[in-house]
Amino acid sequence: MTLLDLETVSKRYGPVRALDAVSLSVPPGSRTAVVGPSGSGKTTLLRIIAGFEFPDSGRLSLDGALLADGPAGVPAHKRGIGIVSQDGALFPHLSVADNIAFGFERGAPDRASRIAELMEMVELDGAMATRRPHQLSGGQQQRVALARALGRRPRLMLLDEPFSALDTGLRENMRKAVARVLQNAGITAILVTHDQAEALSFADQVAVLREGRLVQAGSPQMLYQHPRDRETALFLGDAVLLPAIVRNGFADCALGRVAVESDHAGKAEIMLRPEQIRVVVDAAAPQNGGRVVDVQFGGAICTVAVALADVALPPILIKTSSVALPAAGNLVRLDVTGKAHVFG
Amino acid sequence: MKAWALLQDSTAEAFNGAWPARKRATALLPRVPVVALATLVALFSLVPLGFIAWVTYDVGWETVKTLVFRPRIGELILSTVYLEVITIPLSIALAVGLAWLTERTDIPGARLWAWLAITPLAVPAFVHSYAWVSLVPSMRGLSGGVFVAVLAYYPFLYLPVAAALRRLDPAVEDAAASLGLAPVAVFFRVVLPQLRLAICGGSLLIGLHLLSEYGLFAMIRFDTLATAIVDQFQSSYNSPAANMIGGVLVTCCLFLLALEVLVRGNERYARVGAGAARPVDRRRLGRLALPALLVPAGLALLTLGVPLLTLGRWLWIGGLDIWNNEVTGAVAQTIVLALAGGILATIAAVPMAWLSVRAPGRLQRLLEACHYYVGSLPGVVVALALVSITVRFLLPLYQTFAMLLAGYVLMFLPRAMVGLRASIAQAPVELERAAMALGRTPAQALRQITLRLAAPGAAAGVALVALGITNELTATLMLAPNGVETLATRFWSLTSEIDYVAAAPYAVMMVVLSLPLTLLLHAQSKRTAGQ
Repeated sequence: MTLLDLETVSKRYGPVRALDAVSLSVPPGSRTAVVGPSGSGKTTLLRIIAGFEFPDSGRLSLDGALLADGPAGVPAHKRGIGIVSQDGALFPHLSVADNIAFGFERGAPDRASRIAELMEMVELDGAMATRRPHQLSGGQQQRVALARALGRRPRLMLLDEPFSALDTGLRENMRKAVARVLQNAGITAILVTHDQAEALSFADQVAVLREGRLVQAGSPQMLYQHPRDRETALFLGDAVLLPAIVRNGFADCALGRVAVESDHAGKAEIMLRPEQIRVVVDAAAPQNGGRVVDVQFGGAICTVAVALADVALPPILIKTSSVALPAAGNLVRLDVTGKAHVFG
Repeated sequence: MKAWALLQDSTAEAFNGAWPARKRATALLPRVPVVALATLVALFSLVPLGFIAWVTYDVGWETVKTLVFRPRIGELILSTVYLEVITIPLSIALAVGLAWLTERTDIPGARLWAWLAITPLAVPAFVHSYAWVSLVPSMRGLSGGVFVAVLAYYPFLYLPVAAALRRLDPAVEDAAASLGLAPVAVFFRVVLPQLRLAICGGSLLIGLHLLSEYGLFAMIRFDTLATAIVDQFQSSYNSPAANMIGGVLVTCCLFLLALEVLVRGNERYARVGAGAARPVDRRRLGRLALPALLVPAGLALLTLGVPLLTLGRWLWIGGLDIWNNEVTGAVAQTIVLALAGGILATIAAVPMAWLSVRAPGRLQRLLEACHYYVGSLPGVVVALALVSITVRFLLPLYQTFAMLLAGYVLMFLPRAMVGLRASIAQAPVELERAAMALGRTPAQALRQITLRLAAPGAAAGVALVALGITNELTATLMLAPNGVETLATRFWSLTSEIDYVAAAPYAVMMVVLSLPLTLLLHAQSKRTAGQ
């Protein structure tokens, strides 16, 4: 079952390949995050789904109906796809209520009650209805934009970095609120963001874009633990990358013997997430350890840099709690929990 | 052309929240003398309005009644109203359409058409009508007046509307499309309402010009309040009749200003939210490109082609003989007058500009309003007031350079203010403080930092006022001492004698001297739009 289906969608701007044969399917009721660094083509992808642009080639269909086949297709105003953009894009000349009701059919008899309902849905105070967009805070503007898009009862909602203009605290709040509202309304959502933490916490499906290509798509856990390549691994979070020799479900590396989930055999690069590694002060100078060269105190989470013994690798950075924090110069042992990921 | 100040306001203030956030800065200059100077200039700028009020009171209600409430005044008001209500909507439609074509479509040569849309401003309005009258001698009355006025003044609307279109956030239009609006509906429900401020500002400018213009309408024999005042004035210098029509005209101006405030409302159409706007998409015209080209091309032909053609023809007929010493003399006199007026107006504007940046407050706003309002008064009224006052009280000053320059200062004060205020704002008080921390005295800091940074703005102000004076006709006709002939007045007296051939070189020189202003205006509006 898919709601939105993209088949080898490509788009160029002059010599720049913005999207290169991107295929993606979005199940109904799901939340998908498209994540990638700036310039990776994620906004182009969103604009093509919304209908503001058309692909050079490839097909796009919603609920079985063809939206675009190459440069021909259904224009944005006939698609019934909602969009909330980076700064809300509220109509500056209309009040909050008029903004929300903008997409209603002309002369909708239940206009007032629907506005009230939508405002309640996005947790906006009804007293705001007469205000103008510039009298609202950033978070309130985003709520109005969401209510306005919900007013059309879209099957698909596109979120174009809607939280990036907000303060850190507010951002998380809004993210949860939006996820809740969409869930309750049963609306499928696609979020575009460059913030990997936001993507991982918001979505059931994450799609990583790089240089116009879809590198990998899957559940957040899957992508975090089993990234396809090192760029993806590093993009989605901190990672410790080590050369190793893999044999029989184990890898021999600078940290000793580590379990892997791979039937690969021979030389490979393995990846561990820093939270898999525990730093234990151990003056016995063990094999799978090294010397602490730097400690950065950061409150709840501190960073310890460990230069591995006998290996010509840069020091590895490990995030650890401030309890039993080693000091610079200490000899430490590095214990690994869980399995390492093998590239290739 | 008192356009500059208002135009600046309608493009800049509406779209970027105007000047950089003003902080309440403790002034380094002693404040009291500056306030005193600014107050003096403000009081001087109240002279024309005060004169009208005093004259109305002085002649008594009975005289006012007989002079104002008569059919002739009714006719004049009516024809002025017709002129306004026909010209302004036509100009709006033309300017919005053209601005949309040049800014939001892929029409071939968009940049060229944008320049050509501004260039008619370099041709003084009375030269426009001179060109049309020599081409179509039967052009007369309301229809002719509307026709030439639209051609001469529509750039005042084009300029702010095009700037506003460039600044609109395309995400808002995308949002409207995603909410189910077809492109035409997006234009009328989303784009057009956001142009309201620009349209209001531009319409006000055109409205004020229609009220105060003399040359354009006199040339095609269309009577307005302004032409009636000049006619009265020429028959008797200090006639209560002229003064009373002046009162009616000022009332019309104030009515227009109030109307604009009312229509504009307390709006703020700035872009909401942070982040840079995506550059706007241009709509593909496809097969409509060729018919669409007819609009800017046809307009350029009417607004530039016709003046160039007629001027060229008269020059051809006249040959080299018409470029005589009189032309040289008029050019020299015009330049001297223009520069003197420009420098004087800029000096007069300094105290107020400095106060409005460095010591904003309620008193400052009041004084500043005085400085600005006088720019929207018709030149005829300013001249009338100065002539009547000198004749009654200061006869030795009557028809002197001093009075002519005083008139220019009053009329062009806002132009000088705008450039100065912006450039003083570029020299924040913190820089002066830094200079003093580095061992400069307050006077040195002022001279080496603030004046240095404000100099380009002051120079631009002088240039703008100078170019305004170059094309000024009405007040110069009424105030100039005997023997003083500017390009505009010489042109006017020659065309009044129907010597169109001899008049041509003067018109050409005015256009040549005005072109820099036009280029400056266009560049300025582009910069306002952040391009």
